[in-house]
This record gives sequence, structure tokens and C-alpha cells, in this order.
Amino acid sequence: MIPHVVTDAAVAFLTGFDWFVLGYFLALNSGYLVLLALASLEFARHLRRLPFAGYDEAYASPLTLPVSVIVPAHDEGPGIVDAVRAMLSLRYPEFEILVVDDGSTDDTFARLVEAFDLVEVPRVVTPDVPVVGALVSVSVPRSALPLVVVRKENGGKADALNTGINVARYPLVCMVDADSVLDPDALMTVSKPFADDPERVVATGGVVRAANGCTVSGGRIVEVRMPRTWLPRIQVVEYLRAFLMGRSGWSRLGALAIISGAFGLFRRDVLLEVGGMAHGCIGEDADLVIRIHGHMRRTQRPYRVVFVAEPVAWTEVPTSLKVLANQRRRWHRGLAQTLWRNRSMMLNPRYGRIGLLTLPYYFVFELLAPVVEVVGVSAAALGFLVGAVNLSFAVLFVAVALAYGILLSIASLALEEFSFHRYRRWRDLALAVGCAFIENLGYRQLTAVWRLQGLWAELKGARVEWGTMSREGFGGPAAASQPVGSRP
Amino acid sequence: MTVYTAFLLAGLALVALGLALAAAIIVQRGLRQHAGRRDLALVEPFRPLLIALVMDERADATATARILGADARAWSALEPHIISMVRKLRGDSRAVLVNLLHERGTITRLNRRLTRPGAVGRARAAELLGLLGEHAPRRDLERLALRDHDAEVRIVAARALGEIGDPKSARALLAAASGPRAVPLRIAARSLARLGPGAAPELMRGLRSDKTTSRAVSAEILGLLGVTSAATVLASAAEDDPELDVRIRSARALGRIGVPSALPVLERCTGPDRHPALRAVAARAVGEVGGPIAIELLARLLDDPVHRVAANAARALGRLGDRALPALRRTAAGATPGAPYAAEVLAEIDVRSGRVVALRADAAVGDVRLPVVTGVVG
Repeated sequence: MIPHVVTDAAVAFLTGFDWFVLGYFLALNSGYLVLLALASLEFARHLRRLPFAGYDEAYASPLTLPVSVIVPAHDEGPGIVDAVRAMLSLRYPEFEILVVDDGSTDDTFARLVEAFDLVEVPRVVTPDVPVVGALVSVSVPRSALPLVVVRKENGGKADALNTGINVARYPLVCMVDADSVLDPDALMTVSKPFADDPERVVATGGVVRAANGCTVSGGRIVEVRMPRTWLPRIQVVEYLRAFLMGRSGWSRLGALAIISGAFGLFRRDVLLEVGGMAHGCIGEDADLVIRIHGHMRRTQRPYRVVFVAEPVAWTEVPTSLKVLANQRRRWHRGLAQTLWRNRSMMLNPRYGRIGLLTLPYYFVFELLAPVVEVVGVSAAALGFLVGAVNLSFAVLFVAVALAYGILLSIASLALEEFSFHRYRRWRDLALAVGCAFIENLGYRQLTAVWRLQGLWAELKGARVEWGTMSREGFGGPAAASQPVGSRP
Repeated sequence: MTVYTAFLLAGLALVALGLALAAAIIVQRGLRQHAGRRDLALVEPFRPLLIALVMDERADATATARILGADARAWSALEPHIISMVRKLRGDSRAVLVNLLHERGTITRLNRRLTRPGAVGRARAAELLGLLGEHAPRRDLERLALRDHDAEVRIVAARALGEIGDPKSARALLAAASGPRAVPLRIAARSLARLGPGAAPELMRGLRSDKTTSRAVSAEILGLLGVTSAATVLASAAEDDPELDVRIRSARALGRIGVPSALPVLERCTGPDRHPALRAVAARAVGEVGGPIAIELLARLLDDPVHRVAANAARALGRLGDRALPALRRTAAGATPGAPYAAEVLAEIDVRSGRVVALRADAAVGDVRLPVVTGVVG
């Protein structure tokens, strides 16, 4: 028999905890709402200035900074040739494509050799940033295409990127996932901040969107449509809410911590100063940007990390629950690693908004969100069982929390419709609104469980590898197991 | 009010907001589609007239009159259409359309917008006036490039001045590149380059300015324009300017101009006592000047311990073609630190000339034949 005093204490605790969970979700969603409002200001500013952005002028200028585009590839055989062809036709005055084959076990290199008539050449490569996997060969096409294919022993994505940084010849370095479909003006768009504010801009990122369902021709998105199945459809809405609006909002605050590994542009000299990508880190893209913030703050140099609202890259999102679960576990693990590696910046006034705002936000509202969500639901259920929570109140609380989430998703859709309106069919719009509901009724809860698993895996110290996902591809039904793309 | 009631009200408010946003999405899309169709319908009757105007060498007075007589609603749809055509056309066809805009008052309206509040409006007006070149108020744009409080307006005005291409704007553009309200150097430099050789006298004066940015931009553009008479001043700047950036740009400009008299200066700029960045740029410039002395100097630089200097020297030799091949082959065959650099460039030359057999598509890691050199050579 449990004494009354114990049950009373348990009930009081559960009641208190339920109120904490309530406050937490209010704060979390309100945070999103603030970011959404900031993003809307950013979009309005961007779109009003688009007519005089001067892309044509920059394209014609001999003074536009050339770019080395680094494409890390590991077992990317099925899509690598189309991806490289599309990248070679980017509209930019001067650039080189550096494909770094990170010890692929499939025919990635053979396909490149065949498609581009590659010839092996000697090349002097200086170890400006550390690499683990030894460089095996450097090949170039016999034609004048600005393509360099580097083969190296397997060392992971960060190692492949570091090799690319070492081989790169140009002052700006663009990191692109091999499965990203780029808009023809992607480089022009993300390099503009470097031209407008050359003294301060050190890194820029662009919007990455879900490519599933879109019509891709010649490595280009020619028609934007909603995916054919529900899981990727929900991710379209999720990408709009969490990534497009979130990043734009943070950029507006001058506190952007993540530039997607799927598409980001950096000053090479700054990459060398921070030692390139961190080895053995899953969230290498976020880790890099946070280290750049830290470095610039420590050296007391004025700098900016900018997010360009224009959609520039498209990536295939998972179509099965298994792959999606794997992806979310990895992302959350990466977030945990990144926050831990850069913990000295957390709440440290020396690092300004990044230290005082962004990192604490990511810790409290991103890293811990699945913990609070899963534990909160369990506590609410328990509270209901022991009578600490009134049923009608619990139902109302859940309904309000869901309504807030749905409102945020619909607000994101509204923002997309008022700004870029890429989904032109009424049917796609209706589907997107439907997804705003489904995302909050099951999908978010499911991802919370996966993210919790990712956090647990990190705490256990499980082994880190290139993630794999089954891709349907853009051209046909042929499925292939390929590396999981970066967080958008 | 109880907590329960508060929650209920909050929930209802959220639902109402969500419904309002959903309605806004539908209304916005409907309005946009309607506006698109309306503009298309308004432009349609004028489209054949516009095509006839730009295709015919003789301006058709009737067509012009009909277009100019469009009512305000039709003109608001037609004007962006004409401007987009101006962007794509050159010569007489473009002039006909620009005159249309001028006669209809577009240019006067844009001129007025240059002085109004609202940075976006001023920048848009500046951009369009640059596009419409011949009728643009150069002095007003110069004032914007120099003094507007909005950085974006200054940038757009500077670009517009480059688009107009009047060499008289050189002084304003040079001034715009420095000071507390500076236009980014590359943007000012690009606009100056578009002014052509007529800007050279002002740039020569800029090279003697006490402002670092003015000297840097002047050096860069004198090189891009290939002003040979500037070689002496640039040589002096490459050696003696107190700012590294100016020395680097002057050395680069000397290479672009390509006068052989610059070689002794460039050789001194590659000396081991100079900054590595200047040495690397000077090595490249030596190659652009060319000639037997340049080849000899570059061959020596292949053994330089600084990677960028040796790599630039090798590429410069590669660009010199057959005349530099003996020097490259000699170094590649030796055991000096420059051998890998020479081998790299020779391989690239062989690849481009088709003298190298392509890899087999089934090449495996073990098939590698050629060395990849890693580490700081030398």
C-alpha cells in the first residue's frame, strides 16, 4: 500500500511536469512563430530587391570571384554523371567542379571515366587542411571541361570535403551533395552576398527543397510538383516550416548556425583558418558554420554568415519510413555532436548572438524537444491515470498544442504562396494544406521518437558511417542505395 | 477567467487564424492568376505593334502613336513588357523602344523617383535608368553612388553608371570606391572598366590618390583596359606602394598590359623578400608578359618553396606554349622541388593536345600509374 503522502507528491509532481511541458511547447511554437515573422521580413526584402540584383552584370564581370564546387561522392554511381553534367552547365563566369570519390565500392569512378573521357594526371596537392584517406589519383577530361575527379581512400564525407578544399584552386568553395539538383543560377544567387559585402561575408547558404514529384530534365527542375506519396509530401511542408522559414529567420537575426551540406558557399581562406571540416562528426555542416562563427568572434573580425532565401538546390527526400527514421536519427545525432563539440561557446557572451541565443535555442528546443515530447506524452498519460490531469483539460491542451502546430505549418505555406509560389497547381496547394494537418497528427510524434533514438545512439557512442538511403531517382523507377543527403 | 476558458479561447483563436491564413492563400493565388490573365489580355493587342516596331527599320508612326495612346491601365501592363524587351535588344530596335518609354514619360517618372524616400524605389529607378542609358541623368546617379545612405542604392547606381558608360563618371566611381559609404571595390571596378579607355586619365590620377581603395581600383582597371602608358606608374606602385593590395593589383595589371619593360619590376616582385601573395601574382604576370627572359625566370621559380609561387610559375609556363616546353621538360626530368609542378603542367598540356590515352572505364584503384604528390614540395 502506497502512503497518501507519496501519491500526493507524485500527483503534484506530474501536475507540475505537465505544466512545464505545456510551457515548453508554447515557447517552442512561439519561437517558430517569431522565426516565421522574421523570415517573412527577409523574404519581402529579398523579393523587392530581386529586380535590381544585378546577376547578369555579375555574370559578365571579369572580376567575379571564381568558385571551386566540391562534390563528395561515395557509391553515387547511378546519379553521378547526370549530377556532374548539370553542375557543369551552371551559369557562372568561372568555376571548376571537383568530384571527390571517397573510396566508392561501386562504379562511380568508372561511370565518370566513360562519360567524360577522363585522363589521369599528376597533381601537386598541399595539405592545407588535414585529411585521413590517402589521395589515390587525380583525373581530368580530355576536353576543356572544368572538371577534376579526385579518387581517395575512404575517410568519410568530411574527409572527402577536406580533400576537395586542398585540391581547390579558387578563392570561393562551394560544397554540394552529389544528389542535389541545382538551379542554373544557384552559384550566381549564393555568391551575390560575397560581391555586395566582400569584406564581411564569409559563408552563404541557399534554400534546399524536396525534389520528389518534380519533373527533372537534363539535371534541372523544370516543373515543381508535390510528391506522389504522403510521406515525402509531408516532408515538403516540414522543409518549408522548419528549414526554409527557420534558417531565414535566424539569418535575419544575424545568428545562422547551419548552412546545409547540400549547398553552401565559403571563403576558402576562412576554411583553411578553421582547419576545414571536422573528422568523425556527423553534423559536419553545422559544426563548420559554428566553428567559423567562433573563429571570427575570437579573432574579433567583422563577418556575416548569410542565408539566401531563393530556392537554389533540390534534393530527394526519403520515401520510406525506414529510411526516414535512419536519416532523422543521424541528423539528431549530428546535432548532439555539434553542440557538444562547441559547448564552450554556449551561453558565452564572447560569441554574441550565436553563443547567447542560437546555441541555447538549439539545445533547449531542438536537441531536447524529442525528450520533452516523448516524456511529456507519457507523463500526461500517467497523470491522467493517477487523476492528476483532468480528461477534458488534457484533451483541450492537446488540441490547442496541435492547433498551434498546424497554424505554423499553414503560415509557412502562406509565406511560400506570397513569396516564391513554386507549387502552381491548385491540387498541390490542397495537398500541402492537408499535409499541414497530417504533419502534426502523427508525423512529428514519430520523428520525435527517431530523434530520441539518435540522441541515445550518440550517448552510447555508436559507430559513425556514411548513411545510406534507397533512392528512386528522378528519371525512372530504378532504385539504388546511396548516401543519405545532408540536412537541408 | 479560468485556465480552461483561457485555453478554449486560445484554441479558437488559433483555429480562426489558421482558417484566415488558408483563405488568404486561396485569395492570393486567385488574385495573382487573375492579374496575370488581365495583364496578358491588356498587352496582347499591342504585341504585334511592338514586334513590327522593332523589326522594321523605319519607325511606323501609326504603331508608335497607338502604343503611346494606350490608356493608363494598359500602359501599366505594357511598360514592364517593353522594359523586358529593351533588356534583350541592341541597336536601333532597342533605341525605338527606349524612345517610346521616353515619350510616354517613363524616364521622367524614374528621374523623379531617384530623389524620393524608399531605398527600393530609388534603386529600381537607378537600375532602369542605367538600362535606358542615353536618357539617364548621369549626375543624379553619381550623387546616389557617392552619397545615398542605403548601400544597395549606391551599388545599383554605380552599376548603372557603368551601364551608361560615360567616361565622365570615372571620378565619381573612383570616389565611390572609398570612404565611409563605399561601394564594394569589385562593383566600382567593373563599372569603371565598362567606361573604356576614356577613363584612363582619371585612373592615372587615381593611382596617385592618397586613398588606398582608389589606388587599388585604378591599378586593377588600368590593367583590364590594357593602358600601356600606365606601365611606368604601375611599375612604381608594384614596387613601392605602402599597401600590399595595391602592389598586388599593380603587378597583376602589369601582366595584363604585357609590356616587356615591366619584367625587371615583376622579377623584383617575385623576390624571396616580398610577400608570398605578391610573389604568386607577379609570377603569373611574368608569364603574361612572356618572352625568353620570362621563361628563364619562371623556370627558376618552379623550385620556389612557396606552393602558390611555384604552381603559378608552372601554369604560366604552360600558357606560354611550345616555347616553354623545353624548360618544363628539363625541370620535370630532374629531381628538384619544381619537378612535380612541371610534370603536372606537362601532363595537362598532353591531355589537352590528345597525347594521353584516356583511362579505361573499368579502371580500379590498383591501376594507378601516375603520382599524386601531396605535402608541401621543397
